[in-house]
Amino acid sequence: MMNCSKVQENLSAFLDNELTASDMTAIKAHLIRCSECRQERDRLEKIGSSLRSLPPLQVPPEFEYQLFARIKSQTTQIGSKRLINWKTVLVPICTLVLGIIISPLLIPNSDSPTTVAETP
Amino acid sequence: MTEVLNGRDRKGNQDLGNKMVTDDHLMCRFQEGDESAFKRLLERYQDRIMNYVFRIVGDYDTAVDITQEAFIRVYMNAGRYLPGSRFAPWLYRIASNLAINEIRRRKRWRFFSFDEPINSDEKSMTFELPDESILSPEANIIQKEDVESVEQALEKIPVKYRTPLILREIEGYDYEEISKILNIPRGTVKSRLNRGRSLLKTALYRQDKSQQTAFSLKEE
Repeated sequence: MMNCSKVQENLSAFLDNELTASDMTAIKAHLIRCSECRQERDRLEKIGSSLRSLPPLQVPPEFEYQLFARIKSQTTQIGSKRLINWKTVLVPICTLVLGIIISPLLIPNSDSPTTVAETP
Repeated sequence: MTEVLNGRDRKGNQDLGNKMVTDDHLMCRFQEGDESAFKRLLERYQDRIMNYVFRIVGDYDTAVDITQEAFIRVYMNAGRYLPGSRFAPWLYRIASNLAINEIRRRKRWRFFSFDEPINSDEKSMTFELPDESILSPEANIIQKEDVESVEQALEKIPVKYRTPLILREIEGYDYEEISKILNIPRGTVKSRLNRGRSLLKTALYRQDKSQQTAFSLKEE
């Protein structure tokens, strides 16, 4: 058995048919005998119908043209960013420089100290 | 599937095909590189999304701009769409996020602006519901209203209540779909709709009352 407070708390979901079957039945039964809750239900229904009756608007005629112009502009920007992708440029350069610095340390040198020591 | 759909197009039953081809099929075709599929999705949803965004932001030019941005994101991120999922809630989610961000941006701007008073959405959250005895009996608050007053009343409702209300009442989504679009639990959808309807009822009642006051002042 639902009281008015509980019914009005659930009227919104009742109108949306989003309650359990038992709650729907209980509210329906309450509405039959309670004029105050019926009035509240009617008000909420009118709010819904007033929202649905708002006149629909249309996009302007140039909408599609503008949209594709924006898409084109953005894809071009992305394309140009890709042309100068700093990661792809900097990584090989850094690797090359590092290689040049490290290579003398790794490759055995003919002027090594052992060779010098062997000379009389 | 694509061939069958293309076959329909070749038969010249474009209108019929338009109705029969699902959004998901069109999105899959677009992922395969068919730009006409994107255009058909655009035709289907451009007005719906623009109206939805307009009801949130309350400004036509901004609504058009946000709608374009939403479709740009669909175009650019088509690869992220999962075939078999529903396209419309995905699109509405993108549009919702953009519209809500716009509202937040405006609020930040108003906060730093010396020209405009702060009249944020959160302020209108402090609405208190009128005593029910004032509304009844038969106040008929909605019957007198015209389109303008409904739009004005809707704008007074905080965006977190306004958005599910629009999705439910105007767009016709159920709680589960609204939950996915707005990324909030189903229970929150239920409570926000309940609160949103109460706030709209209050806003309409206050407008009705102020209009009556204005009328009586003119009479004097």
